[in-house]
Amino acid sequence: MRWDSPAGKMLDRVVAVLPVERTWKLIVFGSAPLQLGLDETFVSADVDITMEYPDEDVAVERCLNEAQMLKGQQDFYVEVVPRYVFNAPHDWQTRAYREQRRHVEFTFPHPVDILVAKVCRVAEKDLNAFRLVRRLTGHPTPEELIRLLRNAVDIYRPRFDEEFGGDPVANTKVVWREIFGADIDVRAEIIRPALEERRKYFNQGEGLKDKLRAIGGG
Amino acid sequence: MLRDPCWVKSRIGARILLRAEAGKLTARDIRLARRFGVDRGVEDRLLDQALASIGAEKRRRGLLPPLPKIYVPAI
Repeated sequence: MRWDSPAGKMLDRVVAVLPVERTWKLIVFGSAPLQLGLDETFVSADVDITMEYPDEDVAVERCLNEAQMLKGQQDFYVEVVPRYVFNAPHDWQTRAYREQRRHVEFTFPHPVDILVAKVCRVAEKDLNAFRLVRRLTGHPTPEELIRLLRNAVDIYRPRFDEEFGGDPVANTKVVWREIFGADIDVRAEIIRPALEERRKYFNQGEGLKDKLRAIGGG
Repeated sequence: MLRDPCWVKSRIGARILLRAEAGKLTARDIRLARRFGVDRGVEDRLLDQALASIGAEKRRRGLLPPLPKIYVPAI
């Protein structure tokens, strides 16, 4: 990990301002893990962090506010965001990298999980993240990305009327065109197989009660 | 040991399903099937688990051939 990159230095400043009386568990996502792990020049405006334990965000934000490290307080800043903003595959923790810096444990999601989370938005900067990871690692391949997106299938659910957000189905098509130079049928390749897999588990024994009812003449 | 009533009923239901398959239903089975068919506590998932459990018991007692050792994921 390149702790001398801008995001790395910023995270070390976070360590410096958090009280030492206890340990903290922070999850770093967005572009910062790509900067620390792959390319220190892949700089963005902020470092996104969220908490392993949701009730800690107020305490962390208070410390960062006092240190003048938040949005509007510095040109390059830390943003404390709610956990649900990071829309990654359900098994992302198994691929994550963890590193202890004094009294703070950082969790860095794997680059491919960072990319999946970016599918909800897919701005040009997000596509650049895809290009960077693909150029440096050769991953994710189309097959790998399909598997990852199946494990994050809930991002494709219809939005509530009150909800804002992009169109992950359209965004996935954009990613495929821009990154793999191909089209994809999101429903056929991702949504249906993922739901079929779930159905196998949740509908175990489907129809047995009907059989029992039929035996009883019902 | 206190057994959950939903599980007990589902196990009885599963035995009725097996007896129906073997063509050995009794009047009591039919009566209970009618009752369990509308019982909220008896559900597909529990019936499925009960069938698996009864099958395992029969295998342990040598009444059914053992399952192959090649692992086939259920899902």
